[in-house]
Amino acid sequence: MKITRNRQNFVVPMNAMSDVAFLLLIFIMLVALINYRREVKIDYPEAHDAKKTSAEKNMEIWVDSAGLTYLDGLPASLEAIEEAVTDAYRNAPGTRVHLIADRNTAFRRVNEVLSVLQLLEYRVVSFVVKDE
Amino acid sequence: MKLTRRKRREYGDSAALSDLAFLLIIYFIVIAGFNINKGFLMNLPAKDSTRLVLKDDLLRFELDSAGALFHQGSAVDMDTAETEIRNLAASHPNLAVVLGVNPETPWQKVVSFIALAQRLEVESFSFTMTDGFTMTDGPAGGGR
Repeated sequence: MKITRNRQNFVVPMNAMSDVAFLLLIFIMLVALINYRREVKIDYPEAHDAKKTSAEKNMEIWVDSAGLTYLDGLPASLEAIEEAVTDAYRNAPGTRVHLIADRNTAFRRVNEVLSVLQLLEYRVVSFVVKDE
Repeated sequence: MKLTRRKRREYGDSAALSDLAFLLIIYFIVIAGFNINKGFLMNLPAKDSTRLVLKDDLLRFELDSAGALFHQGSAVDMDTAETEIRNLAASHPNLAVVLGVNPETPWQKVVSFIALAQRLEVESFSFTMTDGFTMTDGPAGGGR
């Protein structure tokens, strides 16, 4: 006589999986918060063959279509930008300055910011575009 | 006395939850990638610095207030400008391209020309507002 044994259905426990997933989620959300970036509503200029210009430390100067200037997403005068760039250069000389201007901004507005950077002898500037 | 038996909880309940969590993770990873800036690196010259360029090596373009491109007084499009630069670069290794920009020119037009100069790997490219500010991208700096 053959004795058969009732086998229980094998179930993979998924509870631990969701725990891992949520821990990962919290970690990534925290990293995203650290990298939080304030954006100014602008129409990015477009160009082909744009290269990645982000460095380890970055500073963003925004110029909107009306010519208003922002530093890292917050409104700032040219004097404030000058101070901030000086401080950044003193603390971390490798800080990369990104100039993010609206595609319709008059060149003279961008030129004002460039003049400040030139006055501070800030050498390399990144002109940010949207890759077409 | 009625004896109650504890029911075993099933494992399968949270499977959808982990799916949701992984979808959120993917979302945040994708969002984090948006923070990378793309564009063009250029060198700022020292204030009031000058560079000597032979007249034959100089190719000058102008952008008017509407963003129209001019070369030697006549309107040209980007393709013509590209051909012009390519032709001259072949015979003039030290070619210097200068772009004169009207103060009211939309930034997009300037960016388009910068992109062209970078694509053609012009050895010495500078743009200047008609008031006098000069921005250069030459072999001496770390741009490009």
